[in-house]
Amino acid sequence: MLEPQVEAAPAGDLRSLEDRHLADLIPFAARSALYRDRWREAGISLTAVRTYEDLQRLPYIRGDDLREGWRRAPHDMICDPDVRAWFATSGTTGAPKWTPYGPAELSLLEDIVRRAYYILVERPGVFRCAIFATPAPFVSDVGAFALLASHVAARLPVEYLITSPTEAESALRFLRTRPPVAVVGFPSILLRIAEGIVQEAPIQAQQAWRLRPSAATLAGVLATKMVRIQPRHLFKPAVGLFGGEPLAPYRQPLRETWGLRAFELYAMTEYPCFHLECREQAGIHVWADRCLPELIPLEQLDREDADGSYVPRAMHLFDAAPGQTGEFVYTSFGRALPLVRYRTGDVIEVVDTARCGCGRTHPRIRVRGRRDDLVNLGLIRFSTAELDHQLGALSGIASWQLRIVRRGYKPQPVLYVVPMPPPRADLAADLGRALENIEILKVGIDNGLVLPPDIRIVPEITEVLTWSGKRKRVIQEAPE
Amino acid sequence: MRFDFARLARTGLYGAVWSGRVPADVAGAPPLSVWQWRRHVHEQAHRSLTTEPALWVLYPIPGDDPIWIPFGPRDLETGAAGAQRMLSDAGVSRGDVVLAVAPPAPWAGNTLPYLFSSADRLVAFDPPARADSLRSDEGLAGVAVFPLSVTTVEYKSDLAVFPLSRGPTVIAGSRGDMEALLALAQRAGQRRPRFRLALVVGFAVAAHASDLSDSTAELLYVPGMFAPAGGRPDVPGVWLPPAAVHVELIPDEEWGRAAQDPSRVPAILTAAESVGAAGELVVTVANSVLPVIRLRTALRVRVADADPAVGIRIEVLNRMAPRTRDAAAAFAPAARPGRTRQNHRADREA
Repeated sequence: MLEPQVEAAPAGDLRSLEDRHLADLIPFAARSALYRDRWREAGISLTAVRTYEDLQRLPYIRGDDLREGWRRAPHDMICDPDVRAWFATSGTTGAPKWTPYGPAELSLLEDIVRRAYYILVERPGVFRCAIFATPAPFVSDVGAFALLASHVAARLPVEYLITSPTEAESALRFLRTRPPVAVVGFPSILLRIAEGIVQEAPIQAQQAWRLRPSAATLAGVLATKMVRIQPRHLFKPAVGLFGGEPLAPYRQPLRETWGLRAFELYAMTEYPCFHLECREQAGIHVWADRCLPELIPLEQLDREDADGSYVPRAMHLFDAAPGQTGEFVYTSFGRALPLVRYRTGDVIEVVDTARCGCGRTHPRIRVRGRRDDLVNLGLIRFSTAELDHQLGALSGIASWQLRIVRRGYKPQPVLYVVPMPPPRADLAADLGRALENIEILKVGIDNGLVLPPDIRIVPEITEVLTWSGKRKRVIQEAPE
Repeated sequence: MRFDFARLARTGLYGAVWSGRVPADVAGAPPLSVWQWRRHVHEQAHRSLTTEPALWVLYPIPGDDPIWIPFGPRDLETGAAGAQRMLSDAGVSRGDVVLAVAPPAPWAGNTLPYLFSSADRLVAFDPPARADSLRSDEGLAGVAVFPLSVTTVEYKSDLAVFPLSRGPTVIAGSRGDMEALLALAQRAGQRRPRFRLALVVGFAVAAHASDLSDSTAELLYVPGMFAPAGGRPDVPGVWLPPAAVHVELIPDEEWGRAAQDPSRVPAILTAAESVGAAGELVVTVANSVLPVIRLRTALRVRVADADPAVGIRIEVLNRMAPRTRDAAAAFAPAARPGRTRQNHRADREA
């Protein structure tokens, strides 16, 4: 453990620490147009917010508020002008959200990845790590260098190879001679890379034999004929750190193909605090010293769904019972643009708030999926509105329902459509074309991350309703 | 620039390249080709490294396969410090908003956004000293960077909208990437902006960039240097600092003779001797993990200035043609195990 005095501090101490942060944070955050008017209208006295109970009087903000703020007052949003870098979200729920990072955010990122080192590294020796980072403007690209800088500054014995999934071939070729102890990336991408290795290994072995006939290259050819070569045969990483999408559907396939022990991280561009699983693997630790985590319970969310004017009540994550599910809300302690009561849209389940077997006291969660109107196929996401738009342009559809299933570890959209009588003969083909028009879905299918949609014309659909009686048109059958 | 040649001669790379001999100085070492580098460093790095690396970065070699270069912690620190000076000399100053159009990792150019935003964090090597450095007004504090890559903007062109709305003053990247990005931004409804400064990676293009920016400086990734070498606004070429890199040149005529007769070791001129001459750039870099000694870069350059105090100014003209490696391939095809499938395919097609 890097900082036992913080990581294993009693919950009461962590909450006191949060309160101390709050006293400074709220007057500072009020510099931003994102909060100023909102809080004034709510009659908030800035200096009066000193505890979590005070914080609960402040309104929530959401991603749309950030987008609107940047649109309306682009030069009046930042609290600290010392911004070093900007990173974007992928914009699956609208326009990409850009987030400013100043020295405090970069420091936070470095501190957290040092914690990660102490969680992941079990054996002495050089921690040789291959990072498959998405290219800029996503934070994982520059973030990988922050990881490197942090570990190098702390004089930890590390060796990094930072690559993009688009350049995986040359990186993997080189990694054969420097096998990594750890890999970092999106689980679906690493499994897609594994599929490529399985296909390519026999071809590569044949070519090596042709170019350099020797006992070693002949053995390579024979090996590929006898064994289906998997990444674990070539690289043998001990651990993997995965984020960007829930790890659950991928954990076992990752173990089988890469032969590694998979750890999950939960992070978002808006605040570079990487919450991590520890070696107990009993939930992701939410770092309560670096943000103030809350949960809006499911029943409150349902009430909000039923009555749009209802403001749901959140509870501190430490006060939530194991098994409780709801939307994750947090207040960040950043400087460039702190987020105060930011509703993430992520549905989490509290695993436990008691001390973990590893000794850490920070509450543990699992991410269950998204709340918003999203077709969630792991890395590939698009809004239901886009699907509705594409299907709405077709004639002859009485109703539709999309179910997300998994075949193996890959998600597959299954579209059930009830046609209007009389059914058109070419409806299925039109539906296929309509789905192809959803660009991100096509990217996912072309790159092997998502299985091609299964389109079924059916006489009726089994409706699924929300608690408040609304019809659900997108149903996640597999865990997200 | 001093090296422990006796120790290097025991490494897999230099043991093979120097044929067991120990050169007395850099001038006594035979030139090193990129395929020798690939053969020994890519395939058996553990036999060539003098210490453990912290990072591997892929460097493009014109007309040839790229090479992986290792960096130790100290290389990263000195490289980051050099980047701060270089970017400052190239005209980046406090208040600039930089659009850094970077290739994806592991290419060397991918480090640029990080160097813009955080070079001081690598320089402030000791964590306790870091807090002070963050408050410092020196270096690149006050410069904000928008990292972008063409790969992602191609997929989602509205990613370019917000950065352009923030009025970027500097654009950095290869000319091709910059143009591709701006074209994608225009497709997303953005006006083509004009920048105060363009930092252009690649060949001598200053004159061609005038439609993009008020002034232009060049950047060049030299194998072995963590940060790119940089030029000065509106002065062609880049400066290679003497503390970081030792510059030599194989003049064109000598290069041609060696290409015709691969048994001939080409004569190499010092930078001072080759001012005004054009030829293949040969570099020596004091990398702490594996020094790069007399690497033939396949870059055709003109040595424009050689000032012992400031460094060497070179103008990149184009790549050496025909490819440097072809001469070696003609005589020792089996001795090149580091080559990729694509190259073999290209050779077969040729």
